[in-house]
Amino acid sequence: MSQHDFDAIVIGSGISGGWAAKELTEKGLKVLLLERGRSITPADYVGEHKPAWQFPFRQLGDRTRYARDYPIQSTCYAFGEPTEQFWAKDSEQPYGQDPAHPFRWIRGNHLGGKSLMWGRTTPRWGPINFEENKRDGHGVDWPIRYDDIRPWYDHVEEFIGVSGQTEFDSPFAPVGRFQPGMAMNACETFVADSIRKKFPDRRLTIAPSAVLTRPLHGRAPCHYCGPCERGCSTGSYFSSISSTLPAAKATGNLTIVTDSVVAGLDYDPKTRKVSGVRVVDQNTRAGRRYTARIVFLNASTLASTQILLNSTSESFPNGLGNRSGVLGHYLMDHPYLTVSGVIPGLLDKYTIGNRPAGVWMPRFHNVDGQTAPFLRGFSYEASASRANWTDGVSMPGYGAAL
Amino acid sequence: MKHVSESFEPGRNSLDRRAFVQLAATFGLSLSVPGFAAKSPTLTADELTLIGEVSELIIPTTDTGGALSAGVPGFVKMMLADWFSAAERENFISGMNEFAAGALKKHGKKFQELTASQKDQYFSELLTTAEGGAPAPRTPFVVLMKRLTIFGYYTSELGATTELRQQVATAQYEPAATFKPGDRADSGIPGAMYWFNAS
Repeated sequence: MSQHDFDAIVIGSGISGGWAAKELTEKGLKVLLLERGRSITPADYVGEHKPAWQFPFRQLGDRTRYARDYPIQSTCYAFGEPTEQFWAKDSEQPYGQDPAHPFRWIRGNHLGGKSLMWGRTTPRWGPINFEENKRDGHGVDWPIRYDDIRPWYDHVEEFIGVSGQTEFDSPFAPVGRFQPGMAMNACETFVADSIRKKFPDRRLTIAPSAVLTRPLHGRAPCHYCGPCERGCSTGSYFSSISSTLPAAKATGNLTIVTDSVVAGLDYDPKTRKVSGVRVVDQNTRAGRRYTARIVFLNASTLASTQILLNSTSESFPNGLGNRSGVLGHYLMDHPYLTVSGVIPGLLDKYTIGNRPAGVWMPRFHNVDGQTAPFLRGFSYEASASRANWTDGVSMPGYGAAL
Repeated sequence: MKHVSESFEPGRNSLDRRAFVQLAATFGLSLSVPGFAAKSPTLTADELTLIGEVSELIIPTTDTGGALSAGVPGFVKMMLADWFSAAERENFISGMNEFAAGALKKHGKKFQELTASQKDQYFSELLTTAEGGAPAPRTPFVVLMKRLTIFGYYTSELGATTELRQQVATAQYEPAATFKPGDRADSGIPGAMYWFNAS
């Protein structure tokens, strides 16, 4: 490593960057982890356990400021007065988009990235998911199958801690190395039993979720406060901050440099490798270049693409790895629909604690051949909760009677 | 049904319920809470009295404190000054003025000077009309007051911890606990975003 600053450079500290840093440092490599945003420690979880009346707008948030600074980020369910410090300001980092095909680019530019605010539902893909390109002819047949990935699922689940059910082994969501799953509440159990009676092949179960129900690597089991996206001082849900970065630091091989935006990658046509990473300090605007034998680009789908497109050279005039011209095209958002309803009854039941894992129904269409009038399928994620005081707004009347 | 509580293991790093209450208390104390400094006074003392009296009709003092004890007028003042849009604010103010003028016209006295039963009857008629008819293009004052009072009350410390039962960090999850008549309901919606319609 004499001619290099580090053995490896990892760009980005979110879920994949944290994992790359952990794996590489544990193999003995000296690793530089670059993060474009500020550092984060559990002391930055300022909204955690904070009741509504301690927020200036009682958790409604400053909507005038949100409309100006966070018009896109504020569309994410996890955005709000207790968590607004974790989102990139759209006003400071605007991007162009086709009005006919808008894309909600949700960004967390800080150490840990979106692993702080993510949804935590972590099902496995099943064997069918890896074979469907071949089966229905849409897309190129992948060179890997479930059995190739399975040991890595085991490795990741055991380290990050995934709690989930172990009774129903769906062809689209195999049971993994799970900690005991959280329980469904009375209403969810009622719905699950009703579905199972009518549709034996469909199961509503607790969703595999990267939240602990058992202690793991110095992290405590969930304490059921509920809104994980505020940050978790006991490290009970998986984030880079709670899990992978502490492990990487413990090796003594990790150097973290925050506030460093990657401007581009240098390409050496002689070695045909990336020879350096150019960064700009987001506060001082000072430039700097780092070198390493290998570079891992883990800046998120769009930011990694942005870095490649910005890395132009004589060899790659349209961006590194973009001889095809396809880089940055054919991006697809995660489409979803939301429905809700009211189940009357069960008035003698409630929950103690706020469970941070949802329930879900794995895909059940087109399991054995083509049985539905569309390709492939979809899954459901859900949760049920008891009606509460907010219903008072829409009930007629006032006073003690209300 | 399998309860998670059965599988809860107090380990080296797990925290029991008491430790959590202490942790939460420490958090509460160490956090600085920005004050509700109103940008400009939008309501006179007289108007705040009117708002206070209307809010107390909506959530009166019973065995627990009512809207006034929970500081609802201050909440309404903050929302009006810093959260409502200009059009929403104008609608609220004009509705409030009509409400006050209507009482004066009907009884020859200001709303604040009416007897308790006159106040109740006047407010009741307006609310019943507003909630019974077709939705108005702009929400009537009495309905806005009802929304603001309910929201302000149940998100106040009094409303969330005395009238309701607040669960911060229970350490265990009981998925199907028994709820008896008279039990206090959960103050919940722990999620990030509440909802409020002021238009």
